[in-house]
Order: sequence, then C-alpha cells, then structure tokens
Amino acid sequence: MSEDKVNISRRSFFKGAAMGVLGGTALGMGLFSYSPWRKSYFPEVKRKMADIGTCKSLKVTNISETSWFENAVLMGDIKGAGGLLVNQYSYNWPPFGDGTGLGKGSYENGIAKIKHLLPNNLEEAWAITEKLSVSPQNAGGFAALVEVEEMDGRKRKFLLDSGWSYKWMDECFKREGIDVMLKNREIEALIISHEHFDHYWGVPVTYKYDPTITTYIPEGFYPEGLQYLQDAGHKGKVVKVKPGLNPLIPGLATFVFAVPIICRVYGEQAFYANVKDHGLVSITGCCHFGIIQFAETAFREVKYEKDQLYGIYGGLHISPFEDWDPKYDDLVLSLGKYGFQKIGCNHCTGLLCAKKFVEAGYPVIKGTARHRTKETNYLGNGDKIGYGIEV
Amino acid sequence: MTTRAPVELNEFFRGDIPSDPAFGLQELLRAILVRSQFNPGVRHAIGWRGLKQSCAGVEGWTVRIRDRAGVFGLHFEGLEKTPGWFTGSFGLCYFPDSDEELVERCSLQGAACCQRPDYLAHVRNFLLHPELMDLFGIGRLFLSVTTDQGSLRLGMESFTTQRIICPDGVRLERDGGLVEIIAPGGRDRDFPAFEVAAGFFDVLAASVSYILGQPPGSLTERRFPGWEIVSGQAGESQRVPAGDIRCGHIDLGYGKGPFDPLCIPCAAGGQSATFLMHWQAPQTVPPAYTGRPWWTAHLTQNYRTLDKNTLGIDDRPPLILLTGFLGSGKTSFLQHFIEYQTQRSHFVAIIQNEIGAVGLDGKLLDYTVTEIDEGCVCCSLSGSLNRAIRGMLSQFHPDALIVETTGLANPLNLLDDMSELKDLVRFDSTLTVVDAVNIEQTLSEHPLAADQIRAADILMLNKKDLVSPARLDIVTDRIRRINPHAPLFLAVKGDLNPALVLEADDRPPQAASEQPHLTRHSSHLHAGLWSRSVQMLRPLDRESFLRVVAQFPRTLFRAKGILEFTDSLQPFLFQFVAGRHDISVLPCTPHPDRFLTLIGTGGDPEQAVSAIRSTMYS
Repeated sequence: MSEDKVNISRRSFFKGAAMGVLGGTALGMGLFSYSPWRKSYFPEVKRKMADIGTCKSLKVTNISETSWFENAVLMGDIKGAGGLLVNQYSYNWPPFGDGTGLGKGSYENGIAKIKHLLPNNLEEAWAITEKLSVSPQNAGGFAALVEVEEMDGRKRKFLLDSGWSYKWMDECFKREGIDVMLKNREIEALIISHEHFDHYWGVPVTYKYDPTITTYIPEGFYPEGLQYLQDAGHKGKVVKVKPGLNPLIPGLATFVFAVPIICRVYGEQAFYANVKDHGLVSITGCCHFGIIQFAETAFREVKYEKDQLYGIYGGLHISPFEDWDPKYDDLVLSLGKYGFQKIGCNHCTGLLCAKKFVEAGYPVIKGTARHRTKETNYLGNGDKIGYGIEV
Repeated sequence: MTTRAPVELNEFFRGDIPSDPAFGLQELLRAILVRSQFNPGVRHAIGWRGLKQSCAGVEGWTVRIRDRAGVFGLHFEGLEKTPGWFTGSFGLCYFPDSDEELVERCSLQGAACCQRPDYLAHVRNFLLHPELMDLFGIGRLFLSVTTDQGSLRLGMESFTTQRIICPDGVRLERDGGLVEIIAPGGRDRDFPAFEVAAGFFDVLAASVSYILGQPPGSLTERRFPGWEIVSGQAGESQRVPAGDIRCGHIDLGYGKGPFDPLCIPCAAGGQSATFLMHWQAPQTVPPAYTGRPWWTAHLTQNYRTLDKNTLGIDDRPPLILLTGFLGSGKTSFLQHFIEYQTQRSHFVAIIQNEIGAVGLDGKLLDYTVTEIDEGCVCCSLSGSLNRAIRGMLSQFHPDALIVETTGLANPLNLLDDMSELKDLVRFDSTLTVVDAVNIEQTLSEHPLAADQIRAADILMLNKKDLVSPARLDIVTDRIRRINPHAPLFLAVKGDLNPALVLEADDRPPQAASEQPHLTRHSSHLHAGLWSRSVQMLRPLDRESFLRVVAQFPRTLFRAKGILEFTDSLQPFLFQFVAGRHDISVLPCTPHPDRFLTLIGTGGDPEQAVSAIRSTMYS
C-alpha cells in the first residue's frame, strides 16, 4: 500500500470551496459510505406528541420569587460550608439550625429543636431557629399559585412550592389569600419543584393551613427531605413523580427532569399547560436543567395547540454548564427562536437577563416591583400573569 | 481475590436502572457528566472545558476537554447483553476544529464537512445529522452497573487507526483542472481514533473516580485484530485484515466486581483478544498506567473535605484588572460579568476606587463591592488594596475578583502590587475597555490612555454600533499600533461574553477569528489564538528555563503548567501572563503530568515550543 503522496492540505483545499466540489465530482470517483465502524443506528428521531388535553386559560400568581435577599450572604455561606456539592442540610441554615455554626449542621439535629412545633406553631419554631441558624434573616422563598380554567369553566388551583422562611412565607400567603384558600381546601395539590431550601423548606407553612393536601414531589428526594414531609406535619397523600411526563388534569401536566442539582439535590419538576387556541405554557421553579432543554423537551414530548410555545413563567436558568462555544452561549439569542408570546420571569433569571429580553423586544410582562421584588422587569411578588385570559 | 467495597451510587444518582435500563443508564451518564461540572476548580482540573446537552430521540452530549481543539460528541446507542450487568453503549465522535492538523487524517468528505460555514451549528445538533457520525465516529463507550448497583464499569472500544484505502485514487476539480488529492492506493481516511478516544476516556474516567470517591479496582486492556476498508471506484468496498491495526478495548471496574463477565469478545467470528493488561487491586498499579488521571481524581471525601491540592488545583481566585477611560463602558461590562457568573452560581467580588463615577446599581445585581476611596489605586493604595482583598476573601470566598480602577489610573503601575498579592489571588489578566467613539480624542489628550491599551492582555472595543465600519477600521488600526497582540473583541454596550475574558485557556482557540468584521479587515487577527502543550519529560534547569521565559515573544500571551526543576524535589505551578510569571509550590500533589501549555496570538508558535523543549536537554 503506498502512502498518500499528494501534498495538498485538505483544510486549504476545502476551505471556502463551493459545496459542489465533493458533491458533484467525487461521488462518482470512489467515495463511499463511511459507516463501517458504526455498529448501530439511532432510534428514529420522532416527536412523541403526548396528548395532555387542553384547558381554557391559566393564571399564575407570584406569591414570592425572592428566595433570599442577599446573594452575597447566601454564596458566602455556601462557600464557607464547603461549596456547591455540599449537602444543603449541613449548612445550618434555618429551619435546621442547631447552634453549632456554618457547615456543621444536620437534618436530625436541626429538626429536633422545632419538630414539636410543626406545623401549627410556626412563629415559635421560627423564633427558635432564628437563634440557632446561620443567616436566618436572609431566607425568603419561592412559591406560586397556578389556577387552571377547564374547558367547561371549572377552576382548579395548584400550589407550586412553599418557599423557605416560615415567617416570610406566612406573610406572603396571607398577602395573597393563600392561607384562606388552603383552609377552605380550594387548592387541590402542592407541587414541589425540587428539594432546594428556598422551594421546599417552608413546606410547614402550607401544612399549617392544609395538613392533608396531596403533595407531588419529583422522584429523587434524599432521605432527609422525605423525612421532613412527615416531620412537617403532613397527613395527606404523597406522590413521587417519576422522570418524564405526568398528566394531572386535562391541559395540565408536570414533567420531571432527572438531573443532579447543586447543594446535593436531585431532580426538578415543572408544569406544562396546554391553553386552548394559544399554545403551551411552561411554569418552572428554577429550571436547573436549562430553559432551552425545557423548550426542546416540550417540543419532543407534548402535543400542544397551534404547535406554538406560547408562554413561560418562573425562574429561567440558562444552561447550567459552561458551554463550549461562547458565541452561542446567550440565552437571549437562543430563546428568540421559540417565539414565546408572553414571558413572566423572575427568581433566578437574572435582572440583567430580563432587561436584555425587554431590549430584544420579547414580550416580557412587567411587574410592579412591590414586596421586596427589586425591579419591574421581573413579574414580582404579588403580581399576576394570565395565559388565555387577561388579569 | 479480596472482597472490595461496593460503590455508592445513591449519593449522587437517584435513578432506577433495573426498571428501565436504557433510560436509567442514560440518566447515570447524565448524572456523572453534570455533577462533574459543579465545582469550577475540580471541573477544570479533571479536564472539562465545556458541556452541552443535545437532544433528539436519544440523549447526546457535546463536550470540549483539555488539550483538544475540537468537540467530542457522545450519544446513547443501546443496551448490550452482559450477564449480571446492565450495560449501555454510547457512540463517541470527534469533530475536529476546522484548523486542526487532525483534519488531514479525516476522510475527504470529513475534511470538506469541517470547512463548511455551518459545521459548528451542525455539530451542536449532531444527533439530527447522522452523516456526521459516519464521518467522525471514533469509537464507543460502555457504562455498566451490576444488578445490585454495587459495581460500575466504564469501558471504551476504538480502532487504533480508521483507514480507508482508495486503490483508484481521487481527483477533484479545482480552477477548471483536476487535482489528484489521493494518489492511487492512497488513504482517504487514516484517523488515529484510539488515541483521540482515549483522551476523552481519561477525562470521563477521572470524573467517575472523583464522583465515586474511589479509584478503579480493576483494569483490563485488550486488543483484537483490526481491519481496513478498501474502496473501489464503483463504490464497492470491502474489509481487509490489516496487520498494523488493532481494535483496542480498555475497561475500568469500580466496586465489588467480579468484572470478568464483561470481558466478552467484541468481534464476530470468535476472534480472540490479546490481553495487554489484566490488573486487579490490591496489586501494584503497572508503571505504564500510573500516570492516568483516574487513579487520583477520587481524592475528595464526602463532598466536604475537598482537598483541592490533590487535584493540582490552584485555589486562589482569579483577579482581573479592569481598566479604561471614564465612560468607556467598564460598568456595563461589570454588570454583564456579574450576572453571567451569578447564573452559574459563581460569586464575584468587585473592588472599585472610582470616586464620584456612576457606580453599579446595587439593587440590580448580586455581588459584593468594596470601595477604596482614599485616592487612586495606582499610586498609594497597595496596602489598602491588599486589605480589601484579604477582607473579601475571608468573608465571601469569591470565585473571581475584579479590581476596577479609576479611568485615570495607569494599570502598568499596578503590576508590582499584583505580584505582592500573589499568595491571595491569581492575577489573571488586564482587560482594557476602549470607547470606539471617543478613543482618538482621548488618546490625543491623555497619553495615559495609550498606557491603558498597552497594558491590556485583552482589549474590548466597545460601542462598535455607534461608529461606521470605516471608522471602526481606523480605530482598530490605531489600537493595534499600540498593542498588536492582545486579543481584541468588539462589543456593544459592554456586552462581551465573560467566557472570553476569564480563564484564557478556556477560550475557544477560534475566538478571535469569530469576529467577522475583524477577520475581513485586520490582518493581525487572521491567525487567531493558538495553544500548544509541551510534555516535560524531565526536570528542568531553573535558570535556563527562566532565560527562555524572559525571551518569550510578545505574541505569547499566556503560559501555564506543572514543572519540576533540578534544584528541588517538589513540582511547581508555573503561570505566565503577558510578560509576568509566577512560580508557586504545588503542595503534596500526586498530579503525574509535567507539562507547559503556551497560548498566543499570531506569530510562530513553534519557536516558543522548541525553545521550551530545548531547556529539557540543556
């Protein structure tokens, strides 16, 4: 076998060459299938188009998007406790503070101080944990009320997350009348997006008003998180949602992404709602799997009205990893192609990112910057957004 | 055989493999890949340089790693039959960078594909372009878990060479004539697949060791007879045995084992394997393999006592000196930089001394700021700067620091202060923001502006949208006359992707040439950034090495590596940024590699490389 003696660089030969160079000439000249080393072929790329039904409209009320009030304090604590891989229950943050200091806590020692007070005496529980915890004033929380109008006009309510600080969340619940709705059993289920402190640790505030509410958690909770459901005084049904699509009622489903998340958390659950004559609306807690992945998953998995990705609400995390090509690593650009028509963003989206959306001409629904939300580009605490309905 | 401890998948993986092995094994790989990215220092030390999920009917990933300019593609292929084990097979591709030497060893179609303008866009979505996997597939990876989830295996299969012979040769049209691009009997494809795949396998295996908290307890390397393809003019092709080609298998076992059921023949026809290595703990690790990263990457415990030194990680946060005239756009850039880092759960500390200037809008961003208000950083404040940095580090543990100097500061005066801070922070670079609208006037009125440009390791030409293309050319030329070497990026409203600024060795090598405007008009940037790594085969003579360093050409922008000198038994971390170098002891590192990576713009990379090589033998 002779060596290739032709001294032409393939790179320079093909650089800038017309596409036809190989297409026209070469195919007849002994170029061939290149698959001899490949042993298998992919499953066909097909959209699954699962039918989750339709609803008439959807309304989201932001109960609280301010998960913590000072990022510097939060990150300082995380770093001081050992970094992003460390188990969140060991931080000694409220409500699991045991007085031993940053990074030295545990669920068992923390819950022992307040367990007897859950869920009915949260004022006293919080007063105790404020003394024993690291940075108790920094805790806020994330929670939203999701109201679905069915095709026959019937309204149904779901609670997404229960925040973090008992004190802050109780104030927020009262502000938005969530306490009364829970007492009246108007809210049919609590959907926990993920086990993170700012979405889940305030769960006794929900159980204080409705201890038997059905609670959906994504599969992958750690033992501490599962134990907390009981210790927080829950007496109702718990549904552990498997990865993938989980239809709830006509037009509303959750989707669980099985993915590790910082601070030793696993799996995140988000909503897809199919609004009649409008399209698909996505409601997320943090979107740790990345909003692009979320949109791509919707496209692949779910059938929706007009084949239109219509709206988003919540924290819009970008790709959680460093991408390999910064040119593409721009959420503003990459989100544009999906053509969302109504965007309500807050929480972990980033205020500058929200500002960029506005500048790019995306339909960002502005908020009122009340109740400690910092800016109107966020759909802030106490603000509402409607899909298929004006609010 | 001694009984080994089982692996603990549950700490990081909560999936259910037995009920749906195909889904579960994809989920397990996802958990390994994602979890490896959380700690920036560990991620970097293990070798990850970028990760992007790519979804179609199956799950796929595109990945960049250390020392390879191209992008790896990884996708689920299916399940393998392995008794007692669940085994998933994942296809591995390597999409070379269009300028990379390896393109010459791809097939003609592959080489042509690399040069297409939409090449990278297709690579991002390679699952939707199956032809890419034909052109650039280099092997397979195997991920296996025992039915009791007590053992895990990571395997790889690849040909030493993927060769296609063209008995008739190939001639292609060019300029109206025919050019013989492959001589009769020559090679269409001659790709060193195993070597490239092994580079990826090392990084992935190091991640597995890191996440499981243990090194592999079993190592098997096997070779099966290989073949090449002979393809004739009519398109018919056949496999022909090739004596110099082998199909190589490498397998690592973690946990209890036994791993023997996995060593099944790969080739049909019952060809038997040659065992190059069949090692099991507690035997001594064979010398030929001691340098592989998977042996040491686990040296972290319970995700808490993360001993960064064991991975050779420099724990000091990088410090960027941000300079530029008043109103050039420094604050806008800072806002973008902070939000970008915050999105990634990284924390930025800012030190400002710009008195009376418009500060950062505190309610907009999450960061911490210390203001030094006693005058000017450049002349009198090194003590104050030192105090401020010390305070910030102990209180906030930031992932990066930015010192924003007043527009009237001369950054060249600060370089000495930077060296005094070296035990606290790693001076990364000086970023100078230049205002495209006003720079000429500023230069004529303030000679200091020229010093700011000269001091830059990276230049950002801001407000490009406010000047005409012709004007932009003039301004660019003017800047280039003052600083011909620093990478220059165009920006609007201070919006420069922070990935281009921090960690020069993370920067995609083609970054500079991606600025279409500049590649068209500025000859300085045609070459773009380059990067070369030199393996150090023996300890160096410190003096002659430093002599070479002192003579590094201006085109050499940054160098970094782990070195040993003949005058000490300890390895050292060497860092060089824009004319300054820093040598620090690497405490108790088992990091086996001794290397130096050089990064530059334009000029002749080989000159610096051979100068470094020569010190090994001086």
